[in-house]
Parts: sequence; C-alpha cells; structure tokens
Amino acid sequence: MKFPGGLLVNNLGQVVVHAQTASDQLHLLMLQTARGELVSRQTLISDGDTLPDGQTIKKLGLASLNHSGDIAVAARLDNGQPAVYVDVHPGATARQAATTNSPLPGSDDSVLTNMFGDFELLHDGSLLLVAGFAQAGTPRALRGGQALIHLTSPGVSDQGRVLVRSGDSIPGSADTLGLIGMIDCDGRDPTFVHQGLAARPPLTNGQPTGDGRTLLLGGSFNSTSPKLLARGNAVEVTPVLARLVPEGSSTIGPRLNRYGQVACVIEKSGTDTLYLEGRALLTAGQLSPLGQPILGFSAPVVGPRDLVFGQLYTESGSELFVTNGQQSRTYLSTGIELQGKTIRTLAFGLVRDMVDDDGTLVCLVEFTNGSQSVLMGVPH
Amino acid sequence: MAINNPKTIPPTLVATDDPLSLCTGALALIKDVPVLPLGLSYNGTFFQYERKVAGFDRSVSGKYSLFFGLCGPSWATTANVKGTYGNGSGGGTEINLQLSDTLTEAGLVFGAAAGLDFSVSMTTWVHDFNFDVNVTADAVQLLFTLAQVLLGDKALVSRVSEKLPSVESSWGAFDSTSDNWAANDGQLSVNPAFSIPFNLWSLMLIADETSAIFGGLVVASNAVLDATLSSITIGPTFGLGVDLSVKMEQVLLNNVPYPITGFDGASSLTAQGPGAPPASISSIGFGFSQTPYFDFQLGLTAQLQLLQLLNFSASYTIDIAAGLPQLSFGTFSQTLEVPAGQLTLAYDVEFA
Repeated sequence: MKFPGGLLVNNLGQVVVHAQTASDQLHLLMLQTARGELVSRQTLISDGDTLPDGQTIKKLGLASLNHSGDIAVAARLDNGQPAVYVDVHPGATARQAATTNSPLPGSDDSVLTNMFGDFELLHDGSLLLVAGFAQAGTPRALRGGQALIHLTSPGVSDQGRVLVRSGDSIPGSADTLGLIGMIDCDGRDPTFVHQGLAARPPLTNGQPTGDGRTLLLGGSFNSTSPKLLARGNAVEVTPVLARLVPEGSSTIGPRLNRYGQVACVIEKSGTDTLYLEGRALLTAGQLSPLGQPILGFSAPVVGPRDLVFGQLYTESGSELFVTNGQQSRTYLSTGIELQGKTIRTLAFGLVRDMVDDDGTLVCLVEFTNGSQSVLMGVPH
Repeated sequence: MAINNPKTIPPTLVATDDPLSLCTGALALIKDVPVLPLGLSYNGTFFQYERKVAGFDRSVSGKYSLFFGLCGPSWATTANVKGTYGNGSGGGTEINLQLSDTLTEAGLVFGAAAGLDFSVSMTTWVHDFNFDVNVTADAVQLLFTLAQVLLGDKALVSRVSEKLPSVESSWGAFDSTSDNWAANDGQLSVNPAFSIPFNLWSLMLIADETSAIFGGLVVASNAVLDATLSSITIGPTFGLGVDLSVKMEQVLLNNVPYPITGFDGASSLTAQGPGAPPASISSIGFGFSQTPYFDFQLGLTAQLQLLQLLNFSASYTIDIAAGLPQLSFGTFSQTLEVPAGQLTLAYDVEFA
C-alpha cells in the first residue's frame, strides 16, 4: 500500500488518508486515533464503488475533513464528469454535493461546467467549491467563468451563493479576477483566502499584451452580515497579499488557521520566504534548525499559538519543522532512524489540514527499504 | 382594399442565399461589420515555470495553439414570394404579397481547433511527476453536449455543412425560425446566448479512453495526475450573445420602397406608397429594420494543481472586437432585393 499524499487530521483524532494498492486502486481510509495510538481503521470509499445515487467512482480525488468528523471527497465519475460528495461514510455511502450541470446557486440560468477546482468542507458542514460556470439565456449579461461558491447545505439542497467569480474587480487594482486557484477557510469565523489570477489584458495579434499576476486574496462572508456584501451575491474581496507580504510569486498554497491567520510562501528573485500575517519567519539562505542552509519551503500549515509547521529543503535532505519566527525546531528529518528504519523522504504540507488545533500533526514518510508510513506527532 | 388594374408579381425566391447560409449572402447582424469568414489564430505560452530546490524540483510549461474559424455574425432569410400590384383604391400604388416557405436564421458559424503542449516535471513526495502532452482536438465538438444541456430544447448549436478552413468541423450557433413574417406582424426575433468555460482535458480523456483518438497519451498522462491527486484544467471559454429583432417594414419594387401597411396574420401582406405603379417590375425585395446586440467571447484558461500544494494558472481573453471595425449598435436598416421572377442566388445588400 502506498500513500499518494492526501492526509488529513481533525480535533477528534480522526485521520483520513488516501491509500493506493498495487493495482493503482485508490481508497480513502479513516484512522481513528486516541492520544496518538491507532484505535481503528475503516475504508470509507474506493475507486470503483457505486454510490447510492447510482454513480460509480472512476477515480477518487482530494478529500476534506472538518472538526465535526464530516468528510467530503472529490471524484471523477464513470461518466467522466467531476463531482464532490459529502457525508462520506464507510460502505461508500455519500451524497452528491455538486457535479457538472449542477445549478449555480443564486442563478436560474447558469450551471456548473466540468471545470472543477479546489474545495473545502467547513466546520458547519457547508462547502466551499471552485468551479467553472456557464450561463445561458441573457445575451446582454453573459458572464461565464470560474466562481468560488459557498454551498450551505451540500448534498441536501442547491442553496448557497457565489462569493467571488471571474470578472470581479480587485480592490485597489484596475485588474479583474481571472481564475481562482487554491482556497482555504478558517471554518469557524467566516474568512477565506484564495489564490486569484488577475485577468490578463485581451490578446491582440495572438499574443498577450500584459502580464497576468497571481494574487493572494482574502475575504469574509457571513449571511447575517449583509453589510459585507459588495454587490449582489458577491462579497468584498481584499487583496491580503499587498497588506501582509511584499509582492512576489505565490504558486504554493496559502494557508489559514482557525483564527484567520494567513501563512504563505512567497518567492521573490528565486528566494522563498515563509510569512505569517506579513511577518517573515524564515527565508531561504538562513540555517535550518539542524544547521543546514535552507533552499526552499513546501506549503506551511498554521497551527495554534502563532506556530507555523512546514517542510524545508536543504542540500542534504528535508526537515519537518515548527517555527514562530523567534524559535524554530525540527521534528523529523530525512536520514534519521525510526523504529530501526531510515527515513529517505518525508512529506508535509501537501494538503491543508495536517495539524489540528492542539498542534497534533500527521505526515508521510518513506523509508530506505521502500516502505511508507503515516506518522502522527502528538504535543506533550 | 381592392387593387385596380392588378399586375402580377411573378413567383420569386427572395433569399440571401439558397440554401440558406450565414456565411454567404447573409445580411450583417451589426452595421459595418462584414460577414466574412474570419480565421483567428493564437499561440503562445500559458505558463513557464522552473524552480530547482533539492527534493522539490518543479518545472512546468504549458503552451497552446488555438484556431477559431468564424463566419458572421449575420442573419439570413428566405421566402417564396408572389402577388399582385397596381393602383390603390385611395391612389398611389398598392401591393399584395403572399409569402411561403419562409426561414430566418441569425448567429454565426464557427469551428475551433485546440492544440496543447504540456510539459510537467516535478519531484514531490515519492513521485516523479513527469509527462509531456502534445495533442490537438476539435474543441467545439467537445463543447457541444454541454451547450445542449444549457440551452435545453432550443438546441442553438449544431453541426453545419459550412466549410471553414483549418477546423475539422463547423458549428452553427444560431437561432432560426420558420415562422412566416406575415404570421408575426412582420417581426422576428432570435437570441442565442451562452457562455461556457469548459475543461477540454477531461473531455479529451473520455475521448482517449473510449476511442484512443490521442493514442492513449492523454490517458497515460492523466494516470500520473491521478497517482498524485493532481488535476489539469485547460480549455477555451466560449461565449456568444446575439439578440436580434428584425422588422419587415417595406416592400421594394424596382428599388422603390413601399411601406408595409398590414399583415393578415397568416401569409399575406399589403404595402402602399405614392406614385403610379411601375409598368413592369425588374426587382423585388424587402426593407428591414433591426436592433442588434452581439457579444462573442473567447477565452483561454489553464490550471495545473498538485494536491493542495502548488497551483499554476493562466487566463486570457481574446479581443475579437479588436480585429473588427468599431461595432455600431442601435437600430439600422437593410434591404434585400433580387431580380423578379428568378429563382436566383443573386442578391443585393445596401445599408440604408
């Protein structure tokens, strides 16, 4: 059994992991832990499963786990269409939240296309989803594109609203939003962060006339606070990148903790810097906690008490570390031995929810003998 | 009202072309915008990114080539016409026409060929993430199913026989009606409209799985994506908005306009104008007024996402209007007149 990289943990000690068998079949497993010990293991859903709605899973995608134990998973169906399912339980029971041709919330003439992107299950059971939408029937107001959608009762109704979408203006900029990349949401307080791509000027003579910029954008949504609504069903969007960090390239996923703190890795002139709320914590070129010059970072995960967990790379390997900007500590590194086996590769930060609110973390390691393990680190 | 000393208007095919076409002989949908087959060719780089960090190398390049064949926007109409004309009972000239076999279309004909060249090389976790894809596709064919769902029974997009260069198939995005002008008080409206961003990759995957039209290359590349819980989204955004209302206002005899005074609600109309009726007629046609709206959106998008770790994206829109004369909206008039008595393809279009 191999682990392709999907690994999530919540405050209930539940760990959801993707596992791949020798036949390339993907399974989504639920590991129940207590104080760092494995209590039970169940298969939730697998490639080839037929769901209660009659659809068959062709290939599982990423999953999302909230602190209530709810699980959502993306999948490509046998009919080729993408879909997101919620209420995923052992025995492949799940309810479809969205797929191609699902209605776009708040619109009676638009549907979702097969252009699905990132998604996140929030702690109240609602769902954030990036999807393309197509519009028909209103010649003078055509506006197909990509939208960040909040489905308030996914799998139950189509209720929800569009938070931002292609063509929205970007405050403080003459640009408009083109595409939406990775998202995150604190889940408790209505704040979200996402990558956005400023729309490039139109092509003329076959070539782009300007440069599209990737932006890190943030916003708030709260159905009880209509004052936040900028217009229609859109909410005000604030480019947090400009507020929090210097300009640079942001291709690595932005991360948000439950207190709304944003961590990100920004590359500028070929140098990675890890930021928390605009404060530079570590920069490539500095020494790692193990004394090696840092070459770069993977995506961070924001934990409790201003702690940022991450993986850094050095000439000699990589380290799983935690930092608050003043102090840094390495938990694991390649080359060390665990239970008689030497770690060849480790992976942390591939997905968002790899640290719970108490600082319990999960990561993947591969040993020099080729075996792989899911590790859990428990604070004490 | 009776026509004194009636003379015959011989059966005539008043048509923009036969068979009806939005590419040849059609009337401009928008004033001063020519109805010409247009080839729009684009190629370039979605993104080019290379970052070497030991253990976390990533190199991504995405290139595209797109060819859009476009014909229109335009509208076209055909009707078999016959009738009488002569002195009106109140003076001047009076005309009585019967229309049959009418058909009117509006919209455009298009085709698209998409070429993709993706090269991805990454080292993350334990996977060597490498693939190189270079394929082309008949993009519109893949779009078709979704458009049908969007538009329901209206079925405003369909394969057409028009031949456009450099594309495998041509498609018409249009509305049409066979309603008789006389049955609709001389008024016809068409309004095809949709905007669709679609993921060409997933549709190409289906095509490659079912018929190996890409030689299994897309299937193999997608297996790499699946193994790393990653995804590619790539494809055009296609938008079309046409809102056209046409009013038949005049009958033309020998280039002289006679305002239409009434329709019988079925297949006949009457027109009346000052002056003596012509001794004979050499041409017959109609004058129309129209209020167009036209919006044609083309966009290109590409996104590559690896887990929740890395995201590369690019988005372009294509400014179709930049290649055309300045669009002039608002109501304007056109005429369609053909030699009387001939079932001919000849036509004469003038802007009023």
